[in-house]
Amino acid sequence: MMTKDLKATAAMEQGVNPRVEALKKSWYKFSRNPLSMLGLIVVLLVIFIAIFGPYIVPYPEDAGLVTKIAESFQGPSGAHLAGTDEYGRDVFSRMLIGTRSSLVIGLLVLAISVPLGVILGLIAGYYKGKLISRLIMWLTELFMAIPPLILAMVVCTMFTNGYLFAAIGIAVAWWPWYTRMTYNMVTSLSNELYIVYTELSGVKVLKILLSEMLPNITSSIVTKMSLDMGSIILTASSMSFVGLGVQPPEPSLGAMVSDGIAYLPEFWWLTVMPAAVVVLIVLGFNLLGDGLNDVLSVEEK
Amino acid sequence: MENKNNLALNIENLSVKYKVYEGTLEVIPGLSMHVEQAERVGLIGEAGCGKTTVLKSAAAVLHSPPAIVRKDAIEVCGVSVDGKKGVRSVRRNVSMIFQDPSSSLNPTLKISTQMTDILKSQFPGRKKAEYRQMMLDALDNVSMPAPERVLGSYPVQLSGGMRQRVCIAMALMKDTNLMLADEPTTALDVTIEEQILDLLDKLVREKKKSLVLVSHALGAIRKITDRVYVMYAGNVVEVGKTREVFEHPRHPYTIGLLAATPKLTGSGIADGIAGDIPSYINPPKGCRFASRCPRCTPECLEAPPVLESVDGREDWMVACHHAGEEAMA
Amino acid sequence: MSENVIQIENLTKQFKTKFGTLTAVDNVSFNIKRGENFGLVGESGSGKSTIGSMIVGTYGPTSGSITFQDDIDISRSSKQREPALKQQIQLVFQDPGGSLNPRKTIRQILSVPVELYAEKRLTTAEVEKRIKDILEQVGLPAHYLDKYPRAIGGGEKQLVCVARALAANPQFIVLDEPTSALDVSIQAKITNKLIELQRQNSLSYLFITHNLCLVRNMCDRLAVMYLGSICEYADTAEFFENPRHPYTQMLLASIPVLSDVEEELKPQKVKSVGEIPSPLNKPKGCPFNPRCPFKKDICTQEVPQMKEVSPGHYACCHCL
Repeated sequence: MMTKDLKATAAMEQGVNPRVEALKKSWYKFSRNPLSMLGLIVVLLVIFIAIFGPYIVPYPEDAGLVTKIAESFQGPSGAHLAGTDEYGRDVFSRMLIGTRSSLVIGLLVLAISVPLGVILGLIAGYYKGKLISRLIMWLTELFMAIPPLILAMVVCTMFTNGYLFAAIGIAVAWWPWYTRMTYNMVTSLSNELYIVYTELSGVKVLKILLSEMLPNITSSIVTKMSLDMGSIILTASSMSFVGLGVQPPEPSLGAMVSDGIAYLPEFWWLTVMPAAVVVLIVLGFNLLGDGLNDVLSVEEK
Repeated sequence: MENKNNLALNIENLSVKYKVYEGTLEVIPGLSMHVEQAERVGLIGEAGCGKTTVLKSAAAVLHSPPAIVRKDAIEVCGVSVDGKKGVRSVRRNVSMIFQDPSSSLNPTLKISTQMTDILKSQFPGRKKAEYRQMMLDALDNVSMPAPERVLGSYPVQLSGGMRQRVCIAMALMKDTNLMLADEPTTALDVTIEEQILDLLDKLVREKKKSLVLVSHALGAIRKITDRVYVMYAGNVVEVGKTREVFEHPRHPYTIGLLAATPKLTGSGIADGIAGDIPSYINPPKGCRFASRCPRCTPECLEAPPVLESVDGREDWMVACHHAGEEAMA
Repeated sequence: MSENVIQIENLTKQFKTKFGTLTAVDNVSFNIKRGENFGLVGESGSGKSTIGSMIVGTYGPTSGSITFQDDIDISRSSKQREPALKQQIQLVFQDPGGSLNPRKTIRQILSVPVELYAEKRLTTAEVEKRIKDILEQVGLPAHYLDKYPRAIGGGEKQLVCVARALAANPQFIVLDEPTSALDVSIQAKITNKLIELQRQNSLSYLFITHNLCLVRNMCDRLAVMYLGSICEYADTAEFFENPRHPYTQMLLASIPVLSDVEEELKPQKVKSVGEIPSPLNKPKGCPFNPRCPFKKDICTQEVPQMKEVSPGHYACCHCL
């Protein structure tokens, strides 16, 4: 009877929603790692700037084509935190506004490449050894063999040069990595007993893929998305560095670096500042991804 | 226990804790055990009772942090594990055999390479041929068929039983007094298990080594140990001569465990012990077995029992408030 | 009413590997009667799990036949079986942790077979009721439904696996080492539960295990396998009183027991020697001959035939 009482209280305690409890526990683990927290703060800051950038910068008009010759080439100071460029525009303001396009391109690329890559990966992984699987994986390897920057440049030059096509271009180069990852995970999941059980019981393939397998790979996908965000922003910057993607006068971090190179080394802030921001954003997303990876991987204890 | 320096292993009041999200895991609250020279001691307990933690502490390989370790003493052959020097000398003075022989051998190296590495650290600066002879002797010692061929093989090319023989041979090559075996036969088939147990038994007797055999297989413990410690949820609940404990267990946990083991007599299986090991976070302040115990009384929920002699005997101790009472149905 | 739930005749399964053909199961025949708990005992590589896999249809046999309920041929993989058949034959794996999806709650796990095998579309309330019934049958409290597998103990996970098998309302369950990953005190609870459920639901079991003591206390009849063939098969009591095959004698003699009483029940004359050969590289003649203390010339030449040594007790040895 004693034991029953104990059990009843235990049940009451455990009555809390297991999902909420799991989330709390994940947050505890995540927050104990200072690097992950740094990553999270940077990423939140980037998102905040991307949304509110134009409203909070000191010189919002500098995003466009303005010339204030009197103020050109000023070094970093209280008035211009990151100095000014050849037209006298505030580099700090332009950087913050440029962050938005970087982030939007990153999200666009993920929005296209992740669903595509994951669906193809699920199919290829489940039908491993069959023709359809070989076909998908062959295509995947083909796209992987071409450097993403070149593939993206081809797409951009074939169609119109701009935001959207830059994103499509990068996405074309990006989906195979998701296919490959999903494929690998699905093939190893196929050997798990709970998948074998559902197959033996005659559960429909679509249900196996979506309700048994997908929940087990989401965490890895989310982690990879965060890690990839950094690389995509870097690629987008590289593209704008060579003049593809975001078009002037709209500021973009890559183009700012590229324009500033002509004035090195005297006017170093023109290149170093936007480059540092790119590094910071990439680092932030990578740290966040690492932290998510630690937290989301299911461990039995 | 006349002179503590004569003990092969002496653990006094060991406590191990871990800090996790939910709080503090009090895995081992306060455990003492000792092993005399040339004594074979068994450590029984089920998954999660802390037996491997005890073994790791004894071999000075328990990682701390994360573990928070407090102790009055851990001594191997009179040497304390304190300090870097102590740890190193203790690690050199114990040999360990693990449950899974496939993961305790490096899959990318030949057996001969792995054995030579140990020999080089034990007997530096000998000739190659000498090492080879020592390895063949060591394998011969463990009745390995075709030792020459085994030396040139990679671990995957050997069967589970042969790998465990290699591990035992390697453990014996270290000239140590104390051998710690963590479930050495659990991964093996019954007929192979018998061979390995017989082998361990023979070698330990011949070389007058002390052995700590950790296992949840009660039969294996009965077969080759003199004395047995029964662990439950981080505590020793019963200590005594193996045969006597198995014949007339006194602690309700030992009784339940023995009853739950299926027998050759075919007398059916007792219903086991209801419930589960209590959580190590905020463990019950009384007896940790209370929630599963048929003898539980309010006293058991209040204070943890301590090990007390049974019938005034020095060599048989039980930690139960109701040890004196006859077992109830 | 049919007498046999499962009848296996001359069943053989070969796998093609890099190193040649592996004969995992070699010309095996036996039958499982209705309402019976049949034990299949063997060490690693004996082919006992391969037989279980063929019965549930993980893959079909290379040759030979498996018949379900006297007249339904099920010698093919589950993909080619009708849904009704899949429902009748269920499976419980050895590793309870690995056989439950870590990302699903117990409720979600149990609702799969309930919905899958329902004759008509069930409402949420009906599914819920059925799940709760089954959970109660295996003796787990209802609040476990919202838990994830990692939050419950190993024994409880295995009970969930048993519940999942019961949810299909089967005739026959293959239990593949259901308790060998569990602690002794928990094992006892699970085996007793399994026996109880068998009586309540008039089920038949194929109990695959390496633990002879467990079979002694659980099964009505048993077969012992070695390297793909059956050595001996008999009623449990008869088998343990009078083991005839040298391998089964060795197996019994190897069991580490807990008391002198049991010690006396073991055959004393056979000492365990040698290694189990790889099934890829089987000895010629009787598969057991390299380890057999009674080896004769004929043993290395000819494969022995199954003989009936006493009514219902079969053994496969040249010495008999």
